[in-house]
Amino acid sequence: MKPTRAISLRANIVTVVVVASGLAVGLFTALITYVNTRSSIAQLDSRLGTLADIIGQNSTAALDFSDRKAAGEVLNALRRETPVVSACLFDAAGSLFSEYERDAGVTRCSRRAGTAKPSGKEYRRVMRPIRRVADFVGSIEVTADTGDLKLLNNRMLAIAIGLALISLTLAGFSGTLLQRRISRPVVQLAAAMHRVTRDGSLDAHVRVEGAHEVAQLAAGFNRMIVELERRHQIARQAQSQLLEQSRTDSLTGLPNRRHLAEQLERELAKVQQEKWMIGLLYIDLDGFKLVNDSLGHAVGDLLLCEVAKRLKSRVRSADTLARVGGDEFTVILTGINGENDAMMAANGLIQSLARHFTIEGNEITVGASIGISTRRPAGMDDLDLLKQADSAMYAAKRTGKNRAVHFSPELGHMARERLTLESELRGAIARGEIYVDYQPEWSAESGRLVRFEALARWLHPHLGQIPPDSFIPVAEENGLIHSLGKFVMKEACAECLEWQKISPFPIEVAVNVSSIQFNSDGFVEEVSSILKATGLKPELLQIELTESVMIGPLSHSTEKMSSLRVLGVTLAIDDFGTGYSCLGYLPGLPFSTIKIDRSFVRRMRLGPEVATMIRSLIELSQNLGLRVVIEGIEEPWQLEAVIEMGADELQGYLLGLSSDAPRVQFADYLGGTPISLNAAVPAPENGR
Amino acid sequence: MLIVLLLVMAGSLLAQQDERAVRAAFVFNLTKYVSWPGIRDLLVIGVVGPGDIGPVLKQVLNGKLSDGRRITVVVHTSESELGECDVLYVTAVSPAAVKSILNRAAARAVLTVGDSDQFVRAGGMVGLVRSGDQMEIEVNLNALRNRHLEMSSRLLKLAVLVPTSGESR
Repeated sequence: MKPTRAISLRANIVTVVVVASGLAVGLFTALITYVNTRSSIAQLDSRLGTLADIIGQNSTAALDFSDRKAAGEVLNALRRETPVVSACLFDAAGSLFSEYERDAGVTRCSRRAGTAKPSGKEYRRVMRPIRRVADFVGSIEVTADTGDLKLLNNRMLAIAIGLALISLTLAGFSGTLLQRRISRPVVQLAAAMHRVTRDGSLDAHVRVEGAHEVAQLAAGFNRMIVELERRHQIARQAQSQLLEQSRTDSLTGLPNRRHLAEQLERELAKVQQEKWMIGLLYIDLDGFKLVNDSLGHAVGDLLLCEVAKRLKSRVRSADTLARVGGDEFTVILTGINGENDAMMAANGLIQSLARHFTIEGNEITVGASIGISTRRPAGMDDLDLLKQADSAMYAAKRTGKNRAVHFSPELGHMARERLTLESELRGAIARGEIYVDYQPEWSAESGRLVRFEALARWLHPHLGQIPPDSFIPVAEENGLIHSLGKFVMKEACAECLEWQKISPFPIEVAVNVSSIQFNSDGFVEEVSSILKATGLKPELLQIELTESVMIGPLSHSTEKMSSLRVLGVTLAIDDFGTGYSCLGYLPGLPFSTIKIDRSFVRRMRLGPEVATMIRSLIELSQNLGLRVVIEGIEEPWQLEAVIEMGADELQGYLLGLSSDAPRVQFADYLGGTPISLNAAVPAPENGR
Repeated sequence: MLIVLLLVMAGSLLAQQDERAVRAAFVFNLTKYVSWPGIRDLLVIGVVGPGDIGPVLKQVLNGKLSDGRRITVVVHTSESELGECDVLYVTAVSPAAVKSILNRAAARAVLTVGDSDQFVRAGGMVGLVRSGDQMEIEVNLNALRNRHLEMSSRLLKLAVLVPTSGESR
């Protein structure tokens, strides 16, 4: 059998059985034929000998008395013996005396005894001497052919072959039966094996049957299948675990970038059939690098975990929050109606991070810049969505941080390098993107509206609302603060003039002035010219300065303040308590008002000590002849507390958000109606 | 010598001059196919009648052994010698003469052999009759049995059985 060509077990068994029995039968037949032939020849020879003896004995007299006729008669008796072809009778001298030939016309006897030619294969010949008692009287030679023998042998051979064929057929049948008993379980096994390899199905147990060895094989196969199943299961578990790991961020346990990409693909496929939009928020933490650098990576990692937790708590279960990089997170928003939903979600996330984190005793505050992209009906491809959110995030980062920016095609066109707050701020006033909001300040005593604080606002057409915290420092840095400050002051003074027309009482306007602006030459002249230009009474203008004004040559500042006072303008120190908070030099400066920073009020909940400090601050300030304004009142209890402490004036969300249309928003109060300080005033509906 | 003689006899037709030798051989062979009652060491062949066969027989057979018996040929056998003979070769031709000779030897187990075609019919036992080229053997079984002589069946197969003329009737 060649190794390349496998013959089935079935064929093998049948072949072996048939060949074995065929060989046995063939050998047997050959042996029988040989033995039979030999014994037949021996028999023939012995018979010929006997015949020769008998004929010889019966011929003695004929020889003695030279009676050829009688001898011929005796020889003729051989006619009955068909195999005998000739009989030659020789006298004592060896001459042919008489002969018998079976076949007419054929002479086989030689003239002299012992000179006969070899008889050949087909013939047997016997030569016997003839004796009468002791006397030699002649000899006889009898020859027989083996034709009959051959015939007989052929007949026997035919019978043997017939028997061989019958036994071969029987062998074939029994071989097939044997084969079935042996090979059926094996064939079943092979089929089961085939099922396993072809379908990968491990549900392929076989019946344990057949010969002992085959049964063992089947049982072994079953055990192997069980083992395979077990391993398969383990492999599957490991695989799914691995897949899970490959899709999960090890630090936060959130899905990673890979998972995000898959999820995004799924959601995008889904959204094509639905009318919902899909939103993508790209979140980058602000100030994370600082945390990492100053407190170490361990703290940074813990912070990331906490951030992840907080973000997670803000995200709907249907949405997917993923960590895609060091301090970068992504949220897939599903089923949103529009860009506003996405923006609200983003702002919610920023808000959730506003509260500080406490990591290993460190109070850490981080912001988040969020880029938003939403899937539009006619579309950009999926990669773009992520790219867009990323560039929107970048825009948020570059334009002030801790804010969310929605992607717009214009944003996409802007070169990244150019996309800075600085570049955008230039010309913002000219483009009319800068406007002024006014937040009311109230008299704690009467509840009357006494003043509006003017707040610069920037509404960028693509970046949206940019908070003053972001753009003011930029403006200060590049000098734009001058034109910005001038613009705001002009606007505020003009607006203030309008209030006087409505209000029965004088309503002041407070304008924040940056120390850079304040310290610049010609500031006093600028204020003076604005007052002149608008016609506002100087005493209605309150210039608010921060403690940073006191950095640098104090005499210079004092001189400027005095000049302003001379103009009739009042001065307030803003956000007191955030900077140096040095009360020591306050008495020497011409401030009329002190604004206690909102952080004091906010921290009041921490304990009575804060309240005591505020109370002392108020008392001290009042003793110095300063009016005290409390900022950041957001809760009714805070309001109640600060009134009790004796604050002069009050400001905060609880008492009114800033508005770009104060005359509409606060029409009643401008008309002289005092605000109720006993209960929370419903917050105006208009935006901040 | 006998063999040579037999060969000559068998190989060729009987010649006139050899006929006596052939007869001698036949007589010799005849003794081998006949058994006599009793045991004797001698085998005496007597010759009675005219003719010259006697000396030939004597010359050829005298002293030969036949089944262990020494052959003695007595030519011109007298009346007294007849009683001693085991084989009596009769040359007489006439039946009367034959009968008288046979009567004389009647008391003994004597194998009587003659060469006349009348011999057996006249009461002789074995006749060696010339028939053309062949020598024919005539046998009278009754005569043999009467004298308690037995002849081998093999010889009988070659012989022509002839009854005594008186008996056939």
